[in-house]
Amino acid sequence: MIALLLLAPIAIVALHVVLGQHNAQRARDEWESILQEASPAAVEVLAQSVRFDAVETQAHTEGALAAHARGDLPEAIRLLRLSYAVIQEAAPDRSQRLEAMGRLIRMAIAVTPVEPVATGSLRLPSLTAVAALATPLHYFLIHPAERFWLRVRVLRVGFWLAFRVLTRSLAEATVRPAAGRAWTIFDAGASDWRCLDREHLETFRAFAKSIRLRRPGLVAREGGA
Amino acid sequence: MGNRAAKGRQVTDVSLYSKLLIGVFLVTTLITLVGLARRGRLSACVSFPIYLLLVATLEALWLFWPEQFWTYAFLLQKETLQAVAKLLLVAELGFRTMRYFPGASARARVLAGPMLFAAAILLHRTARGVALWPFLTLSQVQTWATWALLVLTIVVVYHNLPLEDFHRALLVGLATYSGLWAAILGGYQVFGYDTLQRSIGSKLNGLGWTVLVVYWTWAAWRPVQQPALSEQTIERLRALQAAA
Repeated sequence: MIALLLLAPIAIVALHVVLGQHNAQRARDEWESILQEASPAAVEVLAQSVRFDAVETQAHTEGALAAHARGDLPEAIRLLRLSYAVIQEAAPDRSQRLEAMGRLIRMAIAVTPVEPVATGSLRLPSLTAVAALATPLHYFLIHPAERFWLRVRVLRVGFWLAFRVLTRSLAEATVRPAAGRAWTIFDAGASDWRCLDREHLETFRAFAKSIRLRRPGLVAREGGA
Repeated sequence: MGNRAAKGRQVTDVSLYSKLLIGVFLVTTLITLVGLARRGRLSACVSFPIYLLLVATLEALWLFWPEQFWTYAFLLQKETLQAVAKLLLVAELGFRTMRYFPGASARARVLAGPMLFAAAILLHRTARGVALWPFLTLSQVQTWATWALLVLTIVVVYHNLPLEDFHRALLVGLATYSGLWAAILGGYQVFGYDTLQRSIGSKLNGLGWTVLVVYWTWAAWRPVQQPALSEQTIERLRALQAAA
Protein backbone atom coordinates (compact mmCIF):
# COMPACT_ATOMS: atom_id res chain seq x y z
CA MET A 1 0.00 0.00 0.00
CA ILE A 2 2.80 2.41 0.91
CA ALA A 3 4.51 1.51 -2.37
CA LEU A 4 1.39 2.66 -4.21
CA LEU A 5 1.72 6.05 -2.55
CA LEU A 6 5.24 6.38 -3.91
CA LEU A 7 4.24 5.88 -7.54
CA ALA A 8 3.08 9.46 -8.00
CA PRO A 9 6.13 11.13 -6.38
CA ILE A 10 8.36 8.94 -8.56
CA ALA A 11 6.49 10.19 -11.61
CA ILE A 12 6.94 13.81 -10.47
CA VAL A 13 10.70 13.41 -10.14
CA ALA A 14 10.92 11.60 -13.50
CA LEU A 15 8.84 14.29 -15.20
CA HIS A 16 11.06 17.08 -13.93
CA VAL A 17 14.19 15.20 -14.97
CA VAL A 18 12.82 14.46 -18.45
CA LEU A 19 11.43 17.94 -19.00
CA GLY A 20 14.80 19.38 -17.98
CA GLN A 21 16.14 17.90 -21.23
CA HIS A 22 13.70 19.89 -23.32
CA ASN A 23 14.70 23.17 -24.84
CA ALA A 24 11.76 24.96 -26.42
CA GLN A 25 13.89 27.36 -28.44
CA ARG A 26 16.00 24.54 -29.88
CA ALA A 27 12.89 22.52 -30.70
CA ARG A 28 11.40 25.49 -32.51
CA ASP A 29 14.58 26.16 -34.47
CA GLU A 30 14.94 22.54 -35.46
CA TRP A 31 11.36 22.24 -36.60
CA GLU A 32 11.84 25.36 -38.68
CA SER A 33 14.95 23.93 -40.25
CA ILE A 34 13.62 20.40 -40.76
CA LEU A 35 10.75 21.74 -42.82
CA GLN A 36 12.67 24.38 -44.71
CA GLU A 37 16.09 22.93 -45.35
CA ALA A 38 15.40 19.33 -46.26
CA SER A 39 14.47 20.40 -49.76
CA PRO A 40 15.71 18.90 -53.03
CA ALA A 41 17.74 22.08 -53.56
CA ALA A 42 19.46 21.62 -50.19
CA VAL A 43 20.33 18.02 -51.08
CA GLU A 44 21.76 19.16 -54.38
CA VAL A 45 23.84 21.87 -52.70
CA LEU A 46 25.22 19.31 -50.27
CA ALA A 47 25.87 16.83 -53.09
CA GLN A 48 27.90 19.47 -54.91
CA SER A 49 29.83 20.26 -51.76
CA VAL A 50 30.60 16.58 -51.18
CA ARG A 51 31.73 16.14 -54.80
CA PHE A 52 33.85 19.28 -54.69
CA ASP A 53 35.52 18.34 -51.40
CA ALA A 54 36.16 14.82 -52.65
CA VAL A 55 37.82 16.08 -55.84
CA GLU A 56 39.93 18.56 -53.90
CA THR A 57 41.12 16.18 -51.20
CA GLN A 58 41.80 13.42 -53.71
CA ALA A 59 43.75 15.74 -56.01
CA HIS A 60 45.78 17.26 -53.18
CA THR A 61 46.49 13.90 -51.52
CA GLU A 62 47.51 12.27 -54.78
CA GLY A 63 49.66 15.29 -55.58
CA ALA A 64 51.24 15.09 -52.14
CA LEU A 65 51.97 11.38 -52.54
CA ALA A 66 53.46 11.97 -55.98
CA ALA A 67 55.63 14.82 -54.68
CA HIS A 68 56.71 12.64 -51.77
CA ALA A 69 57.60 9.83 -54.15
CA ARG A 70 59.84 12.10 -56.23
CA GLY A 71 61.44 13.55 -53.08
CA ASP A 72 59.90 17.04 -53.25
CA LEU A 73 59.06 17.08 -49.54
CA PRO A 74 58.15 20.80 -49.11
CA GLU A 75 55.67 20.55 -51.99
CA ALA A 76 54.36 17.24 -50.64
CA ILE A 77 53.74 18.73 -47.21
CA ARG A 78 52.13 21.82 -48.73
CA LEU A 79 49.70 19.70 -50.72
CA LEU A 80 49.05 17.46 -47.71
CA ARG A 81 48.17 20.52 -45.67
CA LEU A 82 45.86 21.74 -48.42
CA SER A 83 44.08 18.39 -48.42
CA TYR A 84 43.85 18.50 -44.64
CA ALA A 85 42.54 22.10 -44.74
CA VAL A 86 39.65 21.07 -46.99
CA ILE A 87 38.68 18.32 -44.55
CA GLN A 88 39.24 20.56 -41.54
CA GLU A 89 36.92 23.14 -43.02
CA ALA A 90 34.25 20.59 -43.90
CA ALA A 91 34.39 18.66 -40.60
CA PRO A 92 32.22 20.94 -38.41
CA ASP A 93 29.56 21.16 -41.10
CA ARG A 94 29.34 17.35 -41.41
CA SER A 95 29.37 16.87 -37.66
CA GLN A 96 26.63 19.45 -37.11
CA ARG A 97 24.46 18.02 -39.86
CA LEU A 98 24.77 14.47 -38.54
CA GLU A 99 24.09 15.61 -34.99
CA ALA A 100 20.99 17.52 -36.09
CA MET A 101 19.76 14.60 -38.19
CA GLY A 102 20.20 12.27 -35.22
CA ARG A 103 17.80 14.43 -33.26
CA LEU A 104 15.52 15.41 -36.10
CA ILE A 105 14.88 11.92 -37.36
CA ARG A 106 12.71 11.22 -34.35
CA MET A 107 10.73 14.23 -35.43
CA ALA A 108 10.24 12.96 -38.94
CA ILE A 109 6.92 11.29 -39.44
CA ALA A 110 7.92 8.90 -42.16
CA VAL A 111 11.39 7.48 -42.50
CA THR A 112 12.96 5.94 -45.55
CA PRO A 113 14.68 2.64 -44.68
CA VAL A 114 18.45 3.03 -44.68
CA GLU A 115 21.28 0.58 -45.21
CA PRO A 116 24.18 0.17 -42.77
CA VAL A 117 27.38 2.09 -43.50
CA ALA A 118 29.29 0.17 -46.18
CA THR A 119 32.55 -1.32 -44.88
CA GLY A 120 33.90 -2.47 -48.27
CA SER A 121 35.64 0.72 -49.32
CA LEU A 122 36.98 1.74 -45.90
CA ARG A 123 40.72 1.43 -45.37
CA LEU A 124 41.42 2.46 -41.80
CA PRO A 125 41.17 -0.58 -39.48
CA SER A 126 39.52 1.38 -36.67
CA LEU A 127 36.85 2.74 -38.98
CA THR A 128 36.27 -0.62 -40.62
CA ALA A 129 35.86 -2.17 -37.16
CA VAL A 130 33.28 0.40 -36.08
CA ALA A 131 31.27 -0.03 -39.27
CA ALA A 132 31.54 -3.82 -39.11
CA LEU A 133 30.35 -3.88 -35.49
CA ALA A 134 27.41 -1.68 -36.33
CA THR A 135 26.25 -3.80 -39.26
CA PRO A 136 24.77 -6.74 -37.27
CA LEU A 137 23.32 -4.25 -34.80
CA HIS A 138 21.65 -2.48 -37.71
CA TYR A 139 19.80 -5.66 -38.68
CA PHE A 140 18.94 -6.35 -35.05
CA LEU A 141 17.12 -3.03 -34.79
CA ILE A 142 13.60 -3.11 -36.14
CA HIS A 143 12.38 0.45 -36.18
CA PRO A 144 13.62 2.46 -39.20
CA ALA A 145 14.23 5.49 -36.99
CA GLU A 146 16.53 3.45 -34.75
CA ARG A 147 18.44 2.18 -37.77
CA PHE A 148 18.74 5.72 -39.03
CA TRP A 149 19.97 6.86 -35.64
CA LEU A 150 22.58 4.08 -35.58
CA ARG A 151 23.79 5.03 -39.05
CA VAL A 152 24.14 8.65 -37.99
CA ARG A 153 26.08 7.62 -34.88
CA VAL A 154 28.43 5.41 -36.90
CA LEU A 155 29.06 8.24 -39.35
CA ARG A 156 29.75 10.72 -36.57
CA VAL A 157 32.19 8.34 -34.90
CA GLY A 158 33.67 7.58 -38.32
CA PHE A 159 34.24 11.26 -39.13
CA TRP A 160 35.77 11.79 -35.72
CA LEU A 161 38.14 8.82 -36.14
CA ALA A 162 39.10 9.80 -39.68
CA PHE A 163 39.75 13.40 -38.68
CA ARG A 164 41.87 12.27 -35.73
CA VAL A 165 43.91 9.96 -37.95
CA LEU A 166 44.38 12.72 -40.54
CA THR A 167 45.53 15.22 -37.90
CA ARG A 168 48.02 12.78 -36.42
CA SER A 169 49.38 11.61 -39.74
CA LEU A 170 49.76 15.20 -40.98
CA ALA A 171 51.68 16.06 -37.83
CA GLU A 172 53.86 12.97 -38.24
CA ALA A 173 54.45 13.65 -41.94
CA THR A 174 55.45 17.23 -41.13
CA VAL A 175 57.92 16.15 -38.44
CA ARG A 176 59.31 13.14 -40.35
CA PRO A 177 58.55 13.80 -44.01
CA ALA A 178 60.86 11.09 -45.28
CA ALA A 179 59.01 8.27 -43.51
CA GLY A 180 56.39 6.69 -45.72
CA ARG A 181 53.95 5.38 -43.09
CA ALA A 182 52.32 8.70 -42.25
CA TRP A 183 51.71 9.43 -45.94
CA THR A 184 50.05 6.07 -46.47
CA ILE A 185 47.86 6.56 -43.40
CA PHE A 186 46.92 10.07 -44.51
CA ASP A 187 45.97 8.72 -47.91
CA ALA A 188 43.83 5.99 -46.31
CA GLY A 189 42.26 8.53 -43.93
CA ALA A 190 41.45 10.96 -46.74
CA SER A 191 39.99 8.13 -48.79
CA ASP A 192 37.84 7.01 -45.85
CA TRP A 193 36.78 10.60 -45.28
CA ARG A 194 35.50 10.81 -48.85
CA CYS A 195 33.73 7.50 -48.41
CA LEU A 196 32.09 8.70 -45.19
CA ASP A 197 31.17 11.94 -46.87
CA ARG A 198 29.31 10.08 -49.61
CA GLU A 199 27.54 7.99 -46.98
CA HIS A 200 26.65 11.16 -45.12
CA LEU A 201 25.22 12.60 -48.32
CA GLU A 202 23.13 9.46 -48.83
CA THR A 203 21.92 9.75 -45.24
CA PHE A 204 20.88 13.34 -45.79
CA ARG A 205 19.20 12.36 -49.05
CA ALA A 206 17.18 9.65 -47.23
CA PHE A 207 16.39 12.07 -44.46
CA ALA A 208 15.16 14.77 -46.83
CA LYS A 209 13.17 12.17 -48.71
CA SER A 210 11.51 10.94 -45.54
CA ILE A 211 10.37 14.46 -44.81
CA ARG A 212 9.10 15.00 -48.34
CA LEU A 213 7.34 11.64 -48.65
CA ARG A 214 4.15 13.20 -47.47
CA ARG A 215 4.23 15.92 -50.05
CA PRO A 216 2.75 14.29 -53.12
CA GLY A 217 3.57 17.29 -55.30
CA LEU A 218 7.25 16.98 -54.58
CA VAL A 219 7.28 13.21 -54.93
CA ALA A 220 5.49 13.49 -58.26
CA ARG A 221 7.97 16.08 -59.52
CA GLU A 222 10.79 13.73 -58.60
CA GLY A 223 9.17 10.91 -60.48
CA GLY A 224 8.24 9.07 -57.29
CA ALA A 225 11.84 8.84 -56.19
CA MET B 1 -8.61 1.44 6.97
CA GLY B 2 -11.61 2.95 5.26
CA ASN B 3 -13.80 5.81 6.20
CA ARG B 4 -17.17 4.65 4.99
CA ALA B 5 -18.58 5.07 8.46
CA ALA B 6 -17.78 8.74 8.28
CA LYS B 7 -19.70 9.21 5.04
CA GLY B 8 -22.33 11.92 5.22
CA ARG B 9 -21.30 13.37 8.53
CA GLN B 10 -19.69 16.73 9.23
CA VAL B 11 -15.98 16.22 8.80
CA THR B 12 -14.60 19.00 10.89
CA ASP B 13 -14.83 22.74 11.37
CA VAL B 14 -13.20 24.96 8.79
CA SER B 15 -10.00 26.16 10.39
CA LEU B 16 -8.74 29.69 10.03
CA TYR B 17 -5.77 28.34 8.08
CA SER B 18 -8.10 26.64 5.59
CA LYS B 19 -10.24 29.78 5.29
CA LEU B 20 -7.14 31.84 4.63
CA LEU B 21 -5.86 29.44 1.97
CA ILE B 22 -9.22 29.21 0.23
CA GLY B 23 -9.48 32.99 0.30
CA VAL B 24 -6.01 33.35 -1.23
CA PHE B 25 -6.93 30.73 -3.82
CA LEU B 26 -10.15 32.49 -4.80
CA VAL B 27 -8.34 35.80 -5.22
CA THR B 28 -5.45 34.29 -7.20
CA THR B 29 -7.90 32.36 -9.36
CA LEU B 30 -9.60 35.61 -10.26
CA ILE B 31 -6.24 37.24 -11.01
CA THR B 32 -5.26 34.21 -13.11
CA LEU B 33 -8.46 34.34 -15.13
CA VAL B 34 -8.02 38.07 -15.75
CA GLY B 35 -4.41 37.37 -16.76
CA LEU B 36 -5.51 34.65 -19.17
CA ALA B 37 -7.98 37.04 -20.75
CA ARG B 38 -5.53 39.94 -20.91
CA ARG B 39 -2.78 37.85 -22.50
CA GLY B 40 -5.15 36.11 -24.88
CA ARG B 41 -4.58 32.72 -23.28
CA LEU B 42 -8.16 31.73 -22.53
CA SER B 43 -8.19 29.58 -25.65
CA ALA B 44 -4.65 28.26 -25.16
CA CYS B 45 -6.18 25.43 -23.14
CA VAL B 46 -9.93 25.82 -22.82
CA SER B 47 -10.32 23.25 -20.06
CA PHE B 48 -7.86 25.11 -17.83
CA PRO B 49 -10.10 28.10 -16.97
CA ILE B 50 -13.01 25.66 -16.65
CA TYR B 51 -10.97 23.55 -14.25
CA LEU B 52 -9.96 26.62 -12.23
CA LEU B 53 -13.54 27.92 -12.10
CA LEU B 54 -14.84 24.52 -11.03
CA VAL B 55 -12.29 24.19 -8.23
CA ALA B 56 -12.95 27.78 -7.15
CA THR B 57 -16.70 27.20 -7.07
CA LEU B 58 -16.36 24.03 -5.04
CA GLU B 59 -13.91 25.67 -2.64
CA ALA B 60 -16.23 28.67 -2.31
CA LEU B 61 -19.08 26.35 -1.34
CA TRP B 62 -16.83 25.02 1.40
CA LEU B 63 -15.80 28.45 2.56
CA PHE B 64 -19.18 30.17 2.56
CA TRP B 65 -21.52 27.32 3.51
CA PRO B 66 -19.40 25.04 5.67
CA GLU B 67 -22.33 23.67 7.68
CA GLN B 68 -23.80 22.33 4.44
CA PHE B 69 -20.77 21.39 2.40
CA TRP B 70 -17.92 20.69 4.84
CA THR B 71 -18.79 17.00 4.84
CA TYR B 72 -17.12 13.76 3.95
CA ALA B 73 -19.67 13.01 1.23
CA PHE B 74 -19.20 16.41 -0.39
CA LEU B 75 -15.43 16.00 -0.18
CA LEU B 76 -15.67 12.81 -2.22
CA GLN B 77 -18.02 14.39 -4.76
CA LYS B 78 -15.81 17.45 -5.00
CA GLU B 79 -12.68 15.39 -5.54
CA THR B 80 -14.42 13.25 -8.14
CA LEU B 81 -15.61 16.29 -10.08
CA GLN B 82 -12.21 17.93 -9.90
CA ALA B 83 -10.54 14.72 -11.06
CA VAL B 84 -12.86 14.57 -14.08
CA ALA B 85 -11.93 18.15 -14.95
CA LYS B 86 -8.26 17.34 -14.43
CA LEU B 87 -8.39 14.35 -16.78
CA LEU B 88 -10.03 16.52 -19.42
CA LEU B 89 -7.29 19.08 -18.89
CA VAL B 90 -4.60 16.39 -19.32
CA ALA B 91 -6.29 15.17 -22.49
CA GLU B 92 -6.56 18.68 -23.93
CA LEU B 93 -2.97 19.46 -23.01
CA GLY B 94 -1.86 16.35 -24.86
CA PHE B 95 -4.03 17.20 -27.85
CA ARG B 96 -2.83 20.79 -28.09
CA THR B 97 0.82 19.86 -27.71
CA MET B 98 0.69 17.16 -30.38
CA ARG B 99 -2.03 18.28 -32.75
CA TYR B 100 0.40 18.98 -35.61
CA PHE B 101 2.38 15.78 -35.00
CA PRO B 102 0.31 12.71 -35.83
CA GLY B 103 3.16 10.25 -35.22
CA ALA B 104 3.89 11.57 -31.75
CA SER B 105 0.19 11.89 -31.05
CA ALA B 106 -0.41 8.24 -31.94
CA ARG B 107 2.40 7.16 -29.65
CA ALA B 108 1.07 9.31 -26.82
CA ARG B 109 -2.44 7.92 -27.30
CA VAL B 110 -1.17 4.36 -27.15
CA LEU B 111 0.89 5.01 -24.02
CA ALA B 112 -1.19 7.52 -22.07
CA GLY B 113 -4.63 6.51 -23.33
CA PRO B 114 -4.88 3.36 -21.19
CA MET B 115 -3.78 5.37 -18.14
CA LEU B 116 -6.50 7.94 -18.64
CA PHE B 117 -8.98 5.17 -19.37
CA ALA B 118 -8.04 3.39 -16.13
CA ALA B 119 -8.42 6.67 -14.26
CA ALA B 120 -11.85 7.21 -15.85
CA ILE B 121 -12.99 3.71 -14.78
CA LEU B 122 -11.81 4.36 -11.22
CA LEU B 123 -13.61 7.69 -11.19
CA HIS B 124 -16.76 6.03 -12.42
CA ARG B 125 -16.58 3.59 -9.51
CA THR B 126 -16.07 6.43 -7.05
CA ALA B 127 -18.94 8.42 -8.51
CA ARG B 128 -21.26 5.41 -8.24
CA GLY B 129 -20.15 4.92 -4.65
CA VAL B 130 -18.97 1.37 -5.24
CA ALA B 131 -15.29 2.05 -4.55
CA LEU B 132 -14.31 0.11 -1.45
CA TRP B 133 -11.66 2.61 -0.44
CA PRO B 134 -12.68 5.88 -2.10
CA PHE B 135 -9.63 7.89 -1.06
CA LEU B 136 -7.31 5.23 -2.35
CA THR B 137 -9.28 5.08 -5.59
CA LEU B 138 -9.07 8.85 -5.97
CA SER B 139 -5.38 8.65 -5.14
CA GLN B 140 -4.95 6.13 -7.96
CA VAL B 141 -6.80 8.46 -10.32
CA GLN B 142 -4.33 11.23 -9.47
CA THR B 143 -1.46 8.78 -9.85
CA TRP B 144 -2.65 7.74 -13.32
CA ALA B 145 -3.07 11.39 -14.28
CA THR B 146 0.50 12.11 -13.12
CA TRP B 147 1.84 9.14 -15.07
CA ALA B 148 -0.12 10.19 -18.14
CA LEU B 149 1.51 13.62 -17.87
CA LEU B 150 4.90 11.96 -17.51
CA VAL B 151 4.25 9.95 -20.67
CA LEU B 152 3.24 13.12 -22.52
CA THR B 153 6.46 14.74 -21.35
CA ILE B 154 8.54 11.79 -22.51
CA VAL B 155 6.88 11.85 -25.94
CA VAL B 156 7.43 15.61 -26.16
CA VAL B 157 11.11 15.29 -25.29
CA TYR B 158 11.68 12.17 -27.41
CA HIS B 159 10.19 13.76 -30.52
CA ASN B 160 11.62 17.16 -29.63
CA LEU B 161 8.20 18.74 -29.96
CA PRO B 162 7.83 22.46 -29.41
CA LEU B 163 6.06 23.28 -26.17
CA GLU B 164 4.39 26.60 -25.42
CA ASP B 165 5.66 28.20 -22.22
CA PHE B 166 2.13 28.31 -20.88
CA HIS B 167 1.51 24.64 -21.66
CA ARG B 168 4.80 23.81 -20.00
CA ALA B 169 3.67 25.66 -16.87
CA LEU B 170 0.37 23.74 -16.92
CA LEU B 171 2.16 20.43 -17.40
CA VAL B 172 4.71 20.96 -14.66
CA GLY B 173 2.22 22.43 -12.19
CA LEU B 174 -0.49 19.90 -12.80
CA ALA B 175 1.83 16.91 -12.61
CA THR B 176 3.58 18.10 -9.47
CA TYR B 177 0.37 18.90 -7.66
CA SER B 178 -1.39 15.73 -8.82
CA GLY B 179 1.50 13.65 -7.58
CA LEU B 180 1.48 15.39 -4.22
CA TRP B 181 -2.29 15.10 -3.93
CA ALA B 182 -2.16 11.42 -4.89
CA ALA B 183 0.22 10.75 -2.02
CA ILE B 184 -1.94 12.72 0.42
CA LEU B 185 -5.19 11.04 -0.69
CA GLY B 186 -3.56 7.65 -0.40
CA GLY B 187 -2.33 8.68 3.02
CA TYR B 188 -5.90 9.51 4.05
CA GLN B 189 -6.85 5.93 3.29
CA VAL B 190 -3.80 4.33 4.85
CA PHE B 191 -3.52 6.43 8.01
CA GLY B 192 -7.16 7.45 8.40
CA TYR B 193 -8.81 10.55 7.03
CA ASP B 194 -9.48 12.28 10.34
CA THR B 195 -5.94 11.75 11.63
CA LEU B 196 -4.10 12.87 8.54
CA GLN B 197 -6.52 15.60 7.53
CA ARG B 198 -6.27 17.20 10.97
CA SER B 199 -2.49 16.90 11.12
CA ILE B 200 -0.63 17.56 7.90
CA GLY B 201 -2.81 16.47 4.99
CA SER B 202 -4.95 19.55 4.83
CA LYS B 203 -2.07 21.95 5.45
CA LEU B 204 0.21 20.33 2.90
CA ASN B 205 -2.47 20.12 0.27
CA GLY B 206 -3.63 23.69 0.88
CA LEU B 207 -0.09 24.99 0.70
CA GLY B 208 0.72 22.95 -2.41
CA TRP B 209 -2.41 24.11 -4.17
CA THR B 210 -1.81 27.75 -3.26
CA VAL B 211 1.76 27.62 -4.54
CA LEU B 212 0.49 25.98 -7.72
CA VAL B 213 -2.14 28.63 -8.36
CA VAL B 214 0.34 31.44 -7.68
CA TYR B 215 2.67 29.76 -10.20
CA TRP B 216 -0.15 29.55 -12.72
CA THR B 217 -1.02 33.19 -12.04
CA TRP B 218 2.54 34.10 -12.94
CA ALA B 219 2.34 31.91 -16.06
CA ALA B 220 -0.99 33.46 -17.06
CA TRP B 221 0.29 37.02 -16.72
CA ARG B 222 3.70 36.38 -18.21
CA PRO B 223 4.07 38.28 -21.49
CA VAL B 224 3.73 35.99 -24.49
CA GLN B 225 7.20 34.88 -25.51
CA GLN B 226 8.04 33.55 -28.93
CA PRO B 227 5.29 31.15 -30.09
CA ALA B 228 6.23 27.47 -30.04
CA LEU B 229 6.02 27.35 -33.84
CA SER B 230 5.90 30.08 -36.44
CA GLU B 231 2.82 30.43 -38.65
CA GLN B 232 4.89 29.33 -41.62
CA THR B 233 5.97 26.11 -39.90
CA ILE B 234 2.42 25.39 -38.76
CA GLU B 235 1.24 25.82 -42.35
CA ARG B 236 3.89 23.38 -43.53
CA LEU B 237 2.92 20.86 -40.85
CA ARG B 238 -0.73 21.20 -41.81
CA ALA B 239 0.18 20.63 -45.43
CA LEU B 240 2.05 17.45 -44.43
CA GLN B 241 -0.97 16.25 -42.48
CA ALA B 242 -3.34 17.05 -45.30
CA ALA B 243 -1.16 15.11 -47.71
CA ALA B 244 -0.95 12.09 -45.40
